[in-house]
Amino acid sequence: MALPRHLKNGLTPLEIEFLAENELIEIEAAIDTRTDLELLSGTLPALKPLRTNKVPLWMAISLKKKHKCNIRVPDWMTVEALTRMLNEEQSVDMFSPLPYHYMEIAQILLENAMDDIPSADATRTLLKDLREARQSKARAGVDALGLTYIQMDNIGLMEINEIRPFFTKAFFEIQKLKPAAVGGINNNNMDNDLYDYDYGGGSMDGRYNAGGQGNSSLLADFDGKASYSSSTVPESSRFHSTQGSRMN
Amino acid sequence: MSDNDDFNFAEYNDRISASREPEVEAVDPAGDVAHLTQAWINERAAPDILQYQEQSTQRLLSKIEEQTLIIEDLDPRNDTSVILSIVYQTELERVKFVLRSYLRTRISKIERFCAFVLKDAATKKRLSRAEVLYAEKATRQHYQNSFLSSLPQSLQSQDAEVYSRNLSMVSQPSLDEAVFCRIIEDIGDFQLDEDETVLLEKGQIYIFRYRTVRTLLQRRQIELI
Repeated sequence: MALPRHLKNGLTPLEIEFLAENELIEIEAAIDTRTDLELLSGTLPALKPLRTNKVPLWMAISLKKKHKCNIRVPDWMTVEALTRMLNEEQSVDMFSPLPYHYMEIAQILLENAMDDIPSADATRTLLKDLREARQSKARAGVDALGLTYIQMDNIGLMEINEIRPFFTKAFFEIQKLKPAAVGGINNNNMDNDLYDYDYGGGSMDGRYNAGGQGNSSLLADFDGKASYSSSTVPESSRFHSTQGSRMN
Repeated sequence: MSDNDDFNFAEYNDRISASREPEVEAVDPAGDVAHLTQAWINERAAPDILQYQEQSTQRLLSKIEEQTLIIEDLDPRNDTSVILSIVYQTELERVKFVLRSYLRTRISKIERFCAFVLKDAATKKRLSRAEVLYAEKATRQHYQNSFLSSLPQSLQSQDAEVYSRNLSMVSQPSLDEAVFCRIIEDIGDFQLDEDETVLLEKGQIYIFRYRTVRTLLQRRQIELI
């Protein structure tokens, strides 16, 4: 078998961690390499003691294990930054702008460079809270599964992977059901305008619109940000603020 | 991350060297590693087989050989060289891993959709010469030789279709599958279907039907994740 079965649905957590290790991070080297580092992926300037160098995370960890460098905690991973982010995460509907690989980087650093992280325990707790807050947002996205697309900006790769198997499958299956549903409703009632009727702002009218409009123009803005302002979208199928794709 | 299969890059290199010109290719040789890493992720996420990244693969394979020689030349008695050697080797293994996984992902799709790949000209064009050969020899002929030849003639077919019931032995990629993707450059209003558009801006992340965004992927305006 060229590719084992468990590798067929997206990437594995280990592979995602592998990708995160390509991210650059600042280190203070304890060695002088004297020459530039000629890597396959490009040239890095020579490492010098008492100077900060930007290197890929995998290299930082490998040097760290040999006690050849100290790792600088990234700006977003300080207690202050994480506290701010957590507040934002809890008060806003969209995902807060953490790095794409935040979960993996934090995990790798906490595992391998504990002594470089001031107040590691507080950091760990904050990250856990953030993760839980974001996880529930991601799950709330299930509401938007019946739509033509789902938007989820700022979601981390590891977070995507958690919801991927269910989301892709469910999205696929629901799309298959759609033409039938549309046909049925249109047969019973040719007048699409009927569905513009305001059902009181409940999540119902989203679904009715989905039928009446022939699954068009349904903008499920996953982060709750108003992308329905797009001028091409017919008024009738715009999302009301209280609708299903919102995450509360 | 372990990947123990022995894969002979040099031999592979020889066999694909005469392959056809690809449609889209990497522009910047320095970006080959990043480019192929993304190609690998795309390949893993996409339901069908994507364009083979011939030039970047080729260039990277020869760079890997050069790098191997450089590593061999490093002085093992010098502490700094030892560190350098460790760093270089680690990176080399990481790059090889990506390359292997990339090629294996493609092979697994070829095996799965073998009959379709050979029948569908557009798909066949996206394969390297070695991959076409693999589909023809290793998979199709292998079935024939290993067991189909001993079955009655009427049961030997590998691509029978029952049009009346819409059934086919040829399994093909399902383009309606949902994919996660990230927008790499501002695209503006994008037509999803007849009367639905969406404003695509750099950095956004969406779930789309693969069929809808296939062209954007080919034009490298989005990447799958």
